[in-house]
This record gives sequence, C-alpha cells and structure tokens, in this order.
Amino acid sequence: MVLKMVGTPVDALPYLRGIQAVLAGYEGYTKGKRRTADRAVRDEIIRAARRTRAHIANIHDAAFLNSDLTMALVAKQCCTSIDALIEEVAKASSGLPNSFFSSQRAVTNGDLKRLIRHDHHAITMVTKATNIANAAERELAQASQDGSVYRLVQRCQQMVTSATGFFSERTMLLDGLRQKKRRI
Amino acid sequence: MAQAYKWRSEPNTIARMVDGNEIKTWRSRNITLKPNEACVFIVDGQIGPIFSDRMVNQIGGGFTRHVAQIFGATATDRRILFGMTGPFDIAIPFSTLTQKGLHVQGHVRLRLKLMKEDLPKMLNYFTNHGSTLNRLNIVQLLKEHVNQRLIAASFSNCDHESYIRSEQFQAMFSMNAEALLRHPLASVGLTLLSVYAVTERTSSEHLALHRMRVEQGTEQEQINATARQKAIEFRETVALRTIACEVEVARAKIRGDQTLQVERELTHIRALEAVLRSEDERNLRLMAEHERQKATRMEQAMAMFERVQSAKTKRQNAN
Repeated sequence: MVLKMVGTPVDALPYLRGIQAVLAGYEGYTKGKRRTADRAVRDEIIRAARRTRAHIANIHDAAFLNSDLTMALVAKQCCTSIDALIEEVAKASSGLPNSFFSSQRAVTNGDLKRLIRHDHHAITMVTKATNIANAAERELAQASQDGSVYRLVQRCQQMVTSATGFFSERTMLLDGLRQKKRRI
Repeated sequence: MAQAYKWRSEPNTIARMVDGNEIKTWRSRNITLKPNEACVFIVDGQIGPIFSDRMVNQIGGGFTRHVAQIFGATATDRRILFGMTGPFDIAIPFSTLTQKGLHVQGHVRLRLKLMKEDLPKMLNYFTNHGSTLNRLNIVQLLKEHVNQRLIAASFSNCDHESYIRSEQFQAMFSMNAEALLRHPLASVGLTLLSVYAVTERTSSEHLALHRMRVEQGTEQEQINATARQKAIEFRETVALRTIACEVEVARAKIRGDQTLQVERELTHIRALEAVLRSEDERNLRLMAEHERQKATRMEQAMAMFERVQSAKTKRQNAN
C-alpha cells in the first residue's frame, strides 16, 4: 500500500508562519510530527490560558480587597471559564501514538489547511483574551473609574468562551478524518 | 521485555516522588501516563521535561542500567515525580464561633487541580514531607491556614445566623478563600478551582427545627382531632338519618296497611254499588217495558175505540 505524502499546503503558509511566531518548531502536521504538532498547539493554548487566568486572578484579588464585589464576582466567573477552557484543551482527543492519522482515511491538503487554520485561529483567540486580560489589569493599576476594567474582564470572558467553543470544532475536524469514505 | 510500572495504587494519591535508583529489577520498567497523569524527571538535581499522555520507556531497572551503574555511567541521583493533573476535592473540617458566640462546625470543600506545568513545584512539598502526597496530606497541610485565616475571619463577621446560609456569605467566603489560599496553594503547585463552606446545623437551627417539628406535630394532632370529630359527627348524622328513615318506613308501612284496608272496603262497597246499580237498571228496564206495553195496549184500545166510533158513525149515517 502506497501512502500519499501530503506536504504543507501553500494556502496555509500564512497561518503556519503566524503560528510559528508564537510556537517555534511548529511545522503544520508534517508527516511523523503530527502528534507533536498537536501537543505543541494544545500546550500553547493552555499556556496562554494560564497567563490570562493569572491576570484575571490578580484583578479578582484586588477587587475583593477593595470591596468591589461585583468586579470580583465577574473575575471569578472569568476564571471559571478559563479553567473550563484549560480542561477542554488538556483532555481533548488527539490521535493514536504511532501515527496521528493512523487507521483513518488518507489526509488531504484540505484537511491540513483546515487544521492549520483552526490552530491559528484558536491560538489567536486565546492570545487576544490574554491581551485583553493584560489591558484590564493595566487599567486597574491606573485606577480607572469609568468601568473599563469591568467591561474588559467581561470581554475577556466572552473571548475565552468563544475560544472554548471554537476549539471544540477541532474534534469535529479529527472526527471527519476518522470516517473513511464509503466506496460504492 | 519491559515491565509496566505503577506509581499509584489508591485513588487518594495525588503525587508521588520515586527514587529511580531504587527501582532494581532485571527487566527495565516503563510507564504509560494517562491524559490526567504527568511525570517529571529530576536528574542530578536538574528538572527535566514534563511528560504526560504518553508511554515513557526505561524509567528504571533493567540489566543494562545495572551494568552501567556498576561502571558509573548513569546519573548519581535520579528521581521521578508523578502527579495527577485532574481536578480533585478535599474537605477540611472546621469548628468556630460567630460574632455572637454561636458555635458553628462543618467543613470547607475545596476543588483543587494540579496543572501539568506546575508539577515541579511539588518539590516544595516533598522537600519537607514524605514521598507520597494524598488528599489527607493536603488537608493536614492546609488545615491550620484555612481555619485561622479563612474560617475565623469569615465567621467572625457573621452578625446573624441566617447570613451563614445566604448566597452572599458563600460568595464572600469563596472570594476570601481565593484571595487567601492562592499563594499557599501555588507554592506547592496546586490551583484552586472552587471553594465553599458546608456548615452543619447550629444549635439555634436545631432549636428552630425542634420548634417547627413540635408545631407541626401539634398541627397534625389538631388536624387528626378535627378529622375524628368530623367522622363522629358524620356517624351521628348517619345514625339519626337511619333512625328517621326507619320511622318513616314504619309510618309508611302503617299508612300502607290502612290504605289497603280502606281500599278493600271501597272495593266491597263498589261491588255492592254495582249490584244495586244493576238491579236499579233492571227495575227501570222492567218499568219501561211495562209502560211500553201499557202504552201499546192503550193505543190498541184507542184504535179499537176509534174503529168502533167510526163504525157507529157510519151506521148512524146509513140509518
């Protein structure tokens, strides 16, 4: 049986470069490194989520110590959402140990493009959430009174929730690879 | 042929530090780490990469390693730190007083998690404790901190008992715990996911419960008494009605007997009346027949008389 070698699709190169900017060593599911790439992407998402959580936890503590309970509750809810994202990513299905796509249908350029694009979008979303959390903490440090911290924390939670939902699409992509096309 | 190594034999174990040089078997040992398990190698004091969700070969033992150890070609100190990375719950008991001196006891339920990346921080625990960390060890580790910093501070602010059961108290308690426990937990690599206080019934609540039960018992007795009274009244009504019905039946029976006697007499009278009426009718018919015969004879006599008179007249005219 001759396996069809699939190279990195040219269309996905911009996304690949984007991921490589934050994740050195990522080569876009090249053969033999697919499982490694999958773990690297998931580790990067978890790392960014933990950074976000650290910022939001600082906001929570500061708000509680200042008796701003509304803000503390919002921050706590955001932390819970981030915990859910971390758990979702850490316990997501990846593949089999020998080959990422073993005993599955042959992977096509379209599949790789979708996966790489999905990785890029997921990492971008979590990075945005981190940036928002960072901005919220900075606003808090500047003693902003216009409610911008509150809005930023809520925006961060919304971004984290979106990232959680978006990441679950990855399972659908992998499920699509597991289903062999029925030949009539 | 490698042999599988198990680092965890009971579900309460959260982390364990294993000395790699103490794994002395002829066959080398490998381990399969599940997605919620992680391990990190500390070789000659240096922390290595963290493994999870994969099989790790040759973690210790084996003839080759034994030979290499004899020749001094292996690391002097090899330790493997294993940890469970899934969320787990612990319960820390407490007993304290409120602002008004009310005795409160219960337990604090904490949901913790050991992140894979935080596994090396567990070294802070194993430096001063045994080689196995289980839930009970974590409870012992946090018990004093939780009781003194969190419980005492939270319950001393309770000016009335109902506040303990309020959502606001739980929210405040949770936020206070987040702020107070984050750093002590982070120092041993644990992350606090959620926390809440489970308070047992206070003496006042027991009293209120007793009062409520007594009141409910009294109300129940009252309801039963009312129901029994109603049943007696109903039975009385039924008995009276039964007696009345029996009297009515007896009266009706008497009335019915009298009616029957009268009816019998009436029937007899009507029979007599019919007999008399038939006799009257027969007499009338006889009288009518007699009158008719009498009239017929009168007519015949008158007709004979007229014939006689006419014959007499004819004779006179003829003479």
